[in-house]
Amino acid sequence: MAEPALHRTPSSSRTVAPAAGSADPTATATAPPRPVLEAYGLSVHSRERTILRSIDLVVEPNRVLGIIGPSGVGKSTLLRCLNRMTDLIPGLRVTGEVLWHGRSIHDRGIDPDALRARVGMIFQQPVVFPGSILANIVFGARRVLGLGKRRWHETAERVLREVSLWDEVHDRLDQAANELSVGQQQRLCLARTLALDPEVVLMDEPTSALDPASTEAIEHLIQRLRQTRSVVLVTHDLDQARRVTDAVACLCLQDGAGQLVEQACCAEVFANPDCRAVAEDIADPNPSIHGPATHNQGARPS
Amino acid sequence: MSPDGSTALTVPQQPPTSSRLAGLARWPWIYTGSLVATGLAALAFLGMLGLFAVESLPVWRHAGLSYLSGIEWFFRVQRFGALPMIYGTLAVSAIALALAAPLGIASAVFVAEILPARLRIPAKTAIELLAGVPSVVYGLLGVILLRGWMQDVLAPFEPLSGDTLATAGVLLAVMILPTIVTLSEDALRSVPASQRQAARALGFNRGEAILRISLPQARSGLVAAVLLALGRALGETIAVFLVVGRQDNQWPDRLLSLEPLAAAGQTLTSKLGGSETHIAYGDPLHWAAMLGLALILLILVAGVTLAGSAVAGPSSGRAAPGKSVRHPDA
Amino acid sequence: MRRVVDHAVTLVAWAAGTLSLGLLFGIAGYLAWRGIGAIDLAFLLEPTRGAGAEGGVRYQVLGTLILLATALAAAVPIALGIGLYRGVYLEDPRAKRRISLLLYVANGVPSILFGILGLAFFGHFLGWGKSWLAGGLLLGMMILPTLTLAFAERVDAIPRKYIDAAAGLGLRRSQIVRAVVLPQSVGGLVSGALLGLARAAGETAPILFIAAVFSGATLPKGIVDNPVLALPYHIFVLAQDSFEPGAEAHLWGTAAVLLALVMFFALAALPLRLRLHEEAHRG
Repeated sequence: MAEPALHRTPSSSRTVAPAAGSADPTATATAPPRPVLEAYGLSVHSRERTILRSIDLVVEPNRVLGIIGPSGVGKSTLLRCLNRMTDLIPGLRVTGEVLWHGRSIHDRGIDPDALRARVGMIFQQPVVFPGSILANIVFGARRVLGLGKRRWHETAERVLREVSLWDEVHDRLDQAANELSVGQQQRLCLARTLALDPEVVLMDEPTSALDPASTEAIEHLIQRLRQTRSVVLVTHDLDQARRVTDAVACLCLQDGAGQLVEQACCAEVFANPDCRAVAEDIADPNPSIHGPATHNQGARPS
Repeated sequence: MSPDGSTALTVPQQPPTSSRLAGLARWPWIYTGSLVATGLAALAFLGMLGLFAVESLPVWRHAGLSYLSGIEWFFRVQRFGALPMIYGTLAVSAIALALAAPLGIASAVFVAEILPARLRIPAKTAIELLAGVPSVVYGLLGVILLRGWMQDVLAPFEPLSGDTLATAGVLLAVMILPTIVTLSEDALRSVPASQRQAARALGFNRGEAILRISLPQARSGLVAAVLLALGRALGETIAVFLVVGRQDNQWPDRLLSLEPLAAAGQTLTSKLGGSETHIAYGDPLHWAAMLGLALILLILVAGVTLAGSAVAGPSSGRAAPGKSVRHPDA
Repeated sequence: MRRVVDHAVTLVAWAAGTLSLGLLFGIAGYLAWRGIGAIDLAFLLEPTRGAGAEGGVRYQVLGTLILLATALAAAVPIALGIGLYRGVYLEDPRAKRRISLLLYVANGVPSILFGILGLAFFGHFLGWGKSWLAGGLLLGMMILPTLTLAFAERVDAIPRKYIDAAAGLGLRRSQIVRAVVLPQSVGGLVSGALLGLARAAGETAPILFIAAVFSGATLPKGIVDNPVLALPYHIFVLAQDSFEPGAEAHLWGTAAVLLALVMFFALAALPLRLRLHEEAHRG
């Protein structure tokens, strides 16, 4: 697989090299694929502090972009900036620019809800709604796309096949979704997002709560998703980043705020000494980062 | 890229189909409706405060602060002094609290710390149900049972009847007892069991653990429970009305003597609940004097409620009525 | 010495517990004993006769039910609105706390003040005389904080993750309200409504001046000058008079009917509350 060539500084990445599959891989100057999402000088401030400072980021079509960095550096916040989920957190101020197909997502004409339907999101813990498997799958589609009841089953089959869950659940679509295993639940959440046919799927450490088998299933899914969509994957697992991403953005903490050290293809990122420090930091087996310690269910909205 | 600036997010590479954008019709009525509802409620309650304040203005102009400090109320000669009613309200509530607070907190200790778990739930449920008995029923019990009994008990003071401030106080004590027990029990149960176990592991016996761990750590909850009960006692109308005697101008010669408690009296609420409220409307000043009493009562009770919330802490939902106790009658 | 402390604490707790539980259960038993003998079906179905001390309480029951229905119809939509505005649309946590505090204060407002407000507004300002509608609206205003707090508590308890997940799918706020918030919180509104009804059913003071009469009313035919009879008001008036012996049975019968109504609502709220608590624990 040809590594996509990305310039080091995303601000100049309007002239990126063509991605794999382009007609002429040498014609670096001819029309590149337009990035789906671009962030320039993106900063996020809470009431107390600066969470992210001047982030530049590019999400290419049909690519998996990994985001790595130590705990608390603002990876999830960065992800949430890309579909304006930050709007839902009172007291956050987002400055800088995020472009969706070249247009600012903060434009007055942009509907954040429609944006979120086009830029789906998967959380660290699978969030299934009370109700059946089928109800979960069409939860967004019936309301956002107005999917008629007659088309629920065909949609369910399509997206469940896409996330390789169809064989496991096709005979019990009307059973309660929270009886599925956590790994199945996470794939169900992905299916629910895919039912909206998003162009980009944002994933916030989607496998950190899962067993190895489910993790592998999700990683396969990510590989398949990139044939038709873009994926932004926040991960703590550097091996996972190497396995599934086409490029990696590395964040680290500078002066109390998260800053982008580098966005490039994996090998380059890991060659960067700053990123290597970050990587070693992450690789440090700290149990509080992984696994059940991150359970935060039932957290109340404040 | 949509030049028309429409609210729908445009997707340049995949032109939106109608199905893609269906279901996006806004329902502003949920937001508008909730805003209107909130505004209506605020209007009603602030309107009540405003009405009491504005309509009572004439009496403040007429009597000034002597409206609060005056001890005579003769509406035919336009003398309006609210002090005896304030005294009656405070005296009745003080009696109720003096009886119900120690008893209620000790009973809460019994329910929370001594009663076995399988008895605790039914006991607590029964207590909460008793907190919901309407005050008119308590008033009926007061009229039929307590009135005669109190006349016997108070015989040394030679009361004219069984309708006295003390009778109202005792009746109120019974009424607020369930509230104090159940809220105090909540407060005691909210002290983590691990704290108690740690104390027992240090060699504390059960009594010491209760005195040194449970009660001190539950203190703010206990105070909040008592304050909530006080708020209820201050505002209780119907039961007090039936047994307090409703005698105007009962101002004790010596403020702290107990003797006046064995005589009939008048509280803010029994005055407001009486027929004088109807009579008063004919005379703007008299009407203002009645609404002045309502204003005093409102401020008194609101102050106690605010104090209770402040003690219980901003995050505590303990005083939430839907949760553990109602505020059945006032 | 330390053993003395232990024994003393235990003794005091036992004594107080037995005394107050005995007192409370004694009252409950007394009410049941006096009431059960006094009611039968005829008592419920017949109208009052004589000077109000004979016959049944048909129109008192119907009047109370009319007041309750009105109170519920007035309070539920408003409570729904406040709960949603506070829980969904209001973002500043300090403002949320302030609204909660105001609700606590409103919840503590003595019921006689609603009676005074009603007399001033409906009676004098609108000139309604005695009207069932005024009484129902006042009772609705009185139980509004109870409903709202119970509902808001459930709205606050909805895990943030559901809201985020629904928003991440592109649902509008109004769609999130319908698809996520309401299904998970409407139980709080129901239990709050039942608790509110239990309270409103027994209230006398708000309807004292403006809605209830002792005799001479049946079912209302309009709004202005159309009072109702009501169970608590009936007891209140009879308890004031030095009644003849025959009236006492009538009085206890009325009290028993009222208590049955109140306990029906309070008990109906109980399993719902227990179930909701369990669900909250399962997360």
